[in-house]
Amino acid sequence: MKTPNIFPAISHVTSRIFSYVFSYLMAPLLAALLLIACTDPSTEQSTEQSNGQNHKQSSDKDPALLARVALDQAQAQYEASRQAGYAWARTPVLLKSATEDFAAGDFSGAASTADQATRLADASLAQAQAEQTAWLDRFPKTDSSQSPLTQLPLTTTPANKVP
Amino acid sequence: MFNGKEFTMIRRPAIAAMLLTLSSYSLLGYMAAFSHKAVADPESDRQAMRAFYQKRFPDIAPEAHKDGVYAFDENAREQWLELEDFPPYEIAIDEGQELFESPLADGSNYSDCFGDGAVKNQFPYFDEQKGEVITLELAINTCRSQHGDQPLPYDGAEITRLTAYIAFQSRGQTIAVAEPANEGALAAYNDGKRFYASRRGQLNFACTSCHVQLAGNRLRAEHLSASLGQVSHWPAYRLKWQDVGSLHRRFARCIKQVGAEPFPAQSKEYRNLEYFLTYISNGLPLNGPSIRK
Amino acid sequence: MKIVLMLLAVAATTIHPALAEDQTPTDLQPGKTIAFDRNAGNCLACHAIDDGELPGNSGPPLIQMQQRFPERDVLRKQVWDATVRNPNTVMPPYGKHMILTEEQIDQVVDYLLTL
Repeated sequence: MKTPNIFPAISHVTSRIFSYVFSYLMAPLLAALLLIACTDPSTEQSTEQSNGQNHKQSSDKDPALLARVALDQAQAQYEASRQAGYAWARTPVLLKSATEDFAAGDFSGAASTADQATRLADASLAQAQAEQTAWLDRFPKTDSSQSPLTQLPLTTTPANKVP
Repeated sequence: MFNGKEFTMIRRPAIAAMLLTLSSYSLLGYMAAFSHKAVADPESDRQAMRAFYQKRFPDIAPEAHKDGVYAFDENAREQWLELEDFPPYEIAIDEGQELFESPLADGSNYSDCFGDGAVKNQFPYFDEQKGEVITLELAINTCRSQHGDQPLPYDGAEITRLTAYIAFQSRGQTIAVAEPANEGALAAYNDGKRFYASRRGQLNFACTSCHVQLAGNRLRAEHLSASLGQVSHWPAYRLKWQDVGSLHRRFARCIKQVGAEPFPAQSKEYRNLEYFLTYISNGLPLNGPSIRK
Repeated sequence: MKIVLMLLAVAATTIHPALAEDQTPTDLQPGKTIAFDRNAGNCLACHAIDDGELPGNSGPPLIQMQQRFPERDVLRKQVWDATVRNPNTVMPPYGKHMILTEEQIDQVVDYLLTL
């Protein structure tokens, strides 16, 4: 058995990693560093601490922030399902509706619709994963005894007649 | 309140989800590459498909599946043949001919690339240099750019009229896709085959669910066609569309119907699918354009 | 057919949970509607059911359901995800893929068991 070539997958993924890492990780980090650099050194530590506490409190309580998190997660999972080629049509519809709820100030509605979109995207990603091998059994084989298809009922009935 | 650090924090779940997804997909790529080794060669696939449909439809020759469901649904076949007396796709053929003969930007026309237009049996094929499947639609746009013209949109009326004329000129030719001979061609074929057999969409259907497993059965009153012949008759005038439309437009409809997001016409996914489907229909006559419900 | 879009639109609407015990034919109506509606369960696409017109024949006729499924839960699981019992089944996983809500699945199952 030869070692399968996984480099095409890696190189494809690498470019995505770069773009995600930059847009989601590097840019905010740079912004954070800039902020810290501008802060008075003597108050740096205490500012950071209180900021951290504020984060915790606000993300626990602030419905807008919670909705934002839910929306971002739904968007990320939907993008992942698209990249896999397995996006479901319903997911972007829910995402749009959640975004509209958010814009209208209905944060709990936005969060719950976004969570629904995430669950759909997750299910489509699970489908993508299962289909990586499952599809191989869905063709007639030359040796028909090996095909699960031969075990399926051939229920052909005359046209337009109720069986 | 929305400073940089908060931004980082908010995005954290999204980042985690992405990294998880990315790592799982590199694994999927590995599995896909591996599983291709278990795939039969294209000619065995074609023979197995023909044998399967012959067993399932003992009274129908594989070639007869060029007519889709009208090969075995006699009531529908009668109505269909009546429609063929005054075929609604005729206008498209005429308009296609006019476009075919009109000058391109440099004064030449499509006959410079496609002769009299009877070229449909030369497509699709795998271009080893470009490393991709070339369909008739791609060749039309290549021809245009060679003659200094802008490419046509693949979902527009103009390209479908051109393919309607070319299909008409090619009637009676036999589908004869060369067996995928090199690694790239085989990968494209297997990709199309995998697409055809993969469950997708919220309804969890693979193309094979309806057109292999259930071929000949009905969804409500509509019969399900066999995979053989699914590519023979395009473009088709669909009564539902009130217009001629391409094979890839039909692919997109099917994919929407199972609750999945469709791909664009002439996407790599659809071209590979067309390549696989056309190969297994080798030996069937080309009979486009046609009429379908 | 815009089966999927419409189906999903209906799936998204909330329907009051049916009371499993104490049933009258009116209680079964929502289940029947979901089973027949092209935009919801669309069971008729594949199965012959009751007085449904022009059913498909891609799945077995839905008759004698009480005898075939003495345990309600087995039928419910079949509707929720039929691929568990048969990986090759064509039947959509109504629960697993959230095509119908849990309440709608209960309503359909209640109706199917009267057939």
